[in-house]
Amino acid sequence: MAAQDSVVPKDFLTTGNHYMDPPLVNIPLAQDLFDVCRSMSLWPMTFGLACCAIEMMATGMARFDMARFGAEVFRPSPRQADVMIVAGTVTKKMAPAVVRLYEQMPGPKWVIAMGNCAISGGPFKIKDNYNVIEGVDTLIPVDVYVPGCPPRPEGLLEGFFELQRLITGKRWWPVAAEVEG
Amino acid sequence: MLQVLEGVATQCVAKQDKGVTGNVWSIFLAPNQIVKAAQKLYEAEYSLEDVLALDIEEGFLVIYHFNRWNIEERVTLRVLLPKDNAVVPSIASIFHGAEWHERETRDFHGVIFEGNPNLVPILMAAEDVDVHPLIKTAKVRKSIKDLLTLGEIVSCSKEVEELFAEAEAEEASDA
Amino acid sequence: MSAYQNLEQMKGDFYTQKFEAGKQDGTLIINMGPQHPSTHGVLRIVIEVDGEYIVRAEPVLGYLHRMHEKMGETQTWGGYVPNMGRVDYGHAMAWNWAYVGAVEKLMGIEVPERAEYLRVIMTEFNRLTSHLLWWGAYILDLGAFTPIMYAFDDREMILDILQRPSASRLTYSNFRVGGVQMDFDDKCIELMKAFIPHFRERLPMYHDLVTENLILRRRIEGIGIMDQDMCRRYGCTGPVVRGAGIPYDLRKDEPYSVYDRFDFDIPTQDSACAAGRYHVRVAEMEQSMRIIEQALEQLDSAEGGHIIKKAPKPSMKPPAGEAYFNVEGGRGKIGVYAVSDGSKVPYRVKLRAPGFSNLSAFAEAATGTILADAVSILGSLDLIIPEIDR
Repeated sequence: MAAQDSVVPKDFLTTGNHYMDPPLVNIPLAQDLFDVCRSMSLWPMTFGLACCAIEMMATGMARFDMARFGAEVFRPSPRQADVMIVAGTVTKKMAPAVVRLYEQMPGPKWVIAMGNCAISGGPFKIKDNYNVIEGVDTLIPVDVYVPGCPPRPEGLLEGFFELQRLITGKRWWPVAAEVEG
Repeated sequence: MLQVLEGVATQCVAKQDKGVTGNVWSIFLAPNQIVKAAQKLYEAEYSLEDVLALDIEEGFLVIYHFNRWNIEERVTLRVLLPKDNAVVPSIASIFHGAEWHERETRDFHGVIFEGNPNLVPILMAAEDVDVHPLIKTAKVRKSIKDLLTLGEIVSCSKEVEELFAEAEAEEASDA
Repeated sequence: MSAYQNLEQMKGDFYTQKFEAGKQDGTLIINMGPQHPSTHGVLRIVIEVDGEYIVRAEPVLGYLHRMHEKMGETQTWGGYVPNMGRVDYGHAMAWNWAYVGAVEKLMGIEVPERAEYLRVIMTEFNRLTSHLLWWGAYILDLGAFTPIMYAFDDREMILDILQRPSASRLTYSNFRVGGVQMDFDDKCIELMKAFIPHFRERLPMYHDLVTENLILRRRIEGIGIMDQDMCRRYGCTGPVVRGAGIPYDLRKDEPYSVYDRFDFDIPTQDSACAAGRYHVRVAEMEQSMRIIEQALEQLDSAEGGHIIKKAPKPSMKPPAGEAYFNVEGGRGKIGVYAVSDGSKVPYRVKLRAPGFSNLSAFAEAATGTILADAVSILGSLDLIIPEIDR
C-alpha cells in the first residue's frame, strides 16, 4: 500500500488500469487541477441494493451530509454518474444488470464496494451458496472497499476520502481525533 | 371448526395447543380434497397465511396455514405427496395470493401445482428452474414422526395413524 | 464487440419474453427496475402500457434472493438471529422477535417480565424508524425533497437511542432466546424520555407540511383501491388491511408478550386507497409513542432481568416439534414457522413475510391506472424487497 501522500501515476484515470487517451495538449498542472475538481464533485449513482442502501441514504441526509464533500447529486442514470457505490448484496439474477450499468457509465469512473456483501458476499457466503455473488469485484473492478454490515455513515465518508486520495494523491480532510479512554 | 370443513373427506383432524405449536387445528388431506377445503375456508372468511413444503422420508409434506382476521385460530392443512409424483392441485383460483406461494414452493422443493397460472421460477434465477435448493440429502432427512406430533385426535384414518404409529409402539415398548 | 451487434441481447430475458407472449396490439412493454430511483430496492415490474394506462403488470422477484431459508438449515439455532436482522432491515427487531418467539415456544421458555418490556420498547421505537423511513421515501418518490430530511433527522435521534442496547444502527440482532442481549442504561432511558415530547411536537408539523398538501392529496386519494375482499384473497395484512377498514392488528387480536397491558388504539381508514394506508401509518406513529410512554412507566416495576438465568447457548437443541409465532411488524403480520428435529441446526425455518403477500396484490391493484400512479401504489404498500425475496 502506497504511503499516505504518494502521488498516483497519471497514466490511467479509471479503475482496472484502463487507459484513457491523453489529451492533445497535455499539461500536467492542468491535469492535476482537473483531478482535484473531479474528486471534489463525484456524482454517485443510486445503486442501493439492500440494507447498505439505507446507510448510504443516511450519509446523504442532514446529519452526515455527503454534500459537504461534493458527492451531493445522486444520479439514477448511469450516464450521468461518476462513481458507482455498490451498496448491498449482488445475486445471480442481478449480476448482468450490475455489469451493464458499469459499462454504461462514461469514464472516468470509479467503484466503491460498500458493505461486506459487496466485498465478499458477507454473511451470505455459506458452503451451500447457490445464489449470492461472492464479492462484486468478481464482476467489475473495484477501487475502494468499505467494510461493515452495514458500515456506519462515517465509514462510507472515509471511503470517499480514500477515493479522493486515489484520484488526487492526497487526503484533503482532517483525520478524526483519537478518543481517550 | 369441523362444521367449516363439512363435506371434505379428511384423513386426520387433530386439535393442538396454540401455546405450544401455534396451530389450533391440524388436518391431513388427500391431494384431491385441497381445492374443496380451500373453497370452504374462503367462504368462512379465512385468509391464506402461507404455503410451504417439508422434505421428509415419506415424501413431501405440503403445509397450508389459514387464519382469520380478528379471531386467531390457525388451521393447518397438510398434504403428503410421494416423492416421485409430487403433484397437487393449485388453490390459486380461489386464493389469488397462493399463486406466488406455490411458485416459491416449486422453486425450493420441486412440488408441481397443477392449475397454477404462472408456474415459473419466482425467487430462483430463470436458468435455475431445475435447481431445488431445500431438498435434503438422505443423511439429514428425517421421518414425520421425528418431527411432528398429532395432538389431540378428533378423527383419524388408518394411513395417517400408521405414519405416526411406530413412535407410539416404541414408547409402549420403552414403558 | 458492441452490444448492438448482439441482437440476442435485445430480445430481453426469460421474463420479458414470457410477458410479451400475451401482448395486445398497440401497447408498449416497459421495465420498471431493477435499478430505479425509488428506494424500495431491487424490484422489477414488467408493465404493458397503452398510452399512459397500465394494461398488465407483473412484478419479477428474485433479484435479492439471499437464501435465508437455506441458511435456516445450515446455521445453528442461535447463530440464525443475525439473519433475521437482515431479512427486513426496516423493522429488524420484529423479525428477531418472531424468530426467538418461535424457538422459545419450541423449548417452552418463559421470558422474564423485564425482558418483555425491553422488547416492546425497542420494537416500538424500531416501528417508528420504519414508518419514518417509509414516510420520507414515499414523499421522495412522489417528488418532494424536504420531508425526507426531517424524517431522517428524527430517525437519527432514535438510532442514537437504539444504539445503546443493541450496538447496531440498522440491522439489529440483539434479541436472544430467553430475553435480550443488553439492558438499558440510564443514559438510554434519559434519551427516550427526552425524545417523546420532541417527537410529539414534530408530528403536527409533518401534518401541516405534508398531509394536507393539495398535490399529495391528488396523488394518493383514490389510487390503488384494495378493498376487503381483495385483501383477503391475497392474504394482505398490516396497514394495507387497516387502510381498507378492518381493525386487524396482532397486538390487539392476539396479544403476545405484554401488549395487553397497554392502552392504545388501532387506527383504521375506510377508503381502501393509498391515502387510507398513508393515514393509517402516520396515525400508528402516535400510537407507538403511547405504548412507549406507558411501557417506560411500567418498566421499573417489572420483575426479572433482561434474559433468563441459564439462557440457552447458541448451539442449543430444542426438542423435536413445530412452532409458529407471529408478530405485528411495521409492514404487516410477520410469521416464523420453525420445525426442529432435536439437533442443533433447524430442520426447516419458513419466514412468512408480509410484503410478499402485499406485493402479490399489486398486479390487480395497478391495472387500469396510469403509470405515475403505479409509483404511488408501490410506495403505499411499504415494500422492503429483502423480506419479499428472502
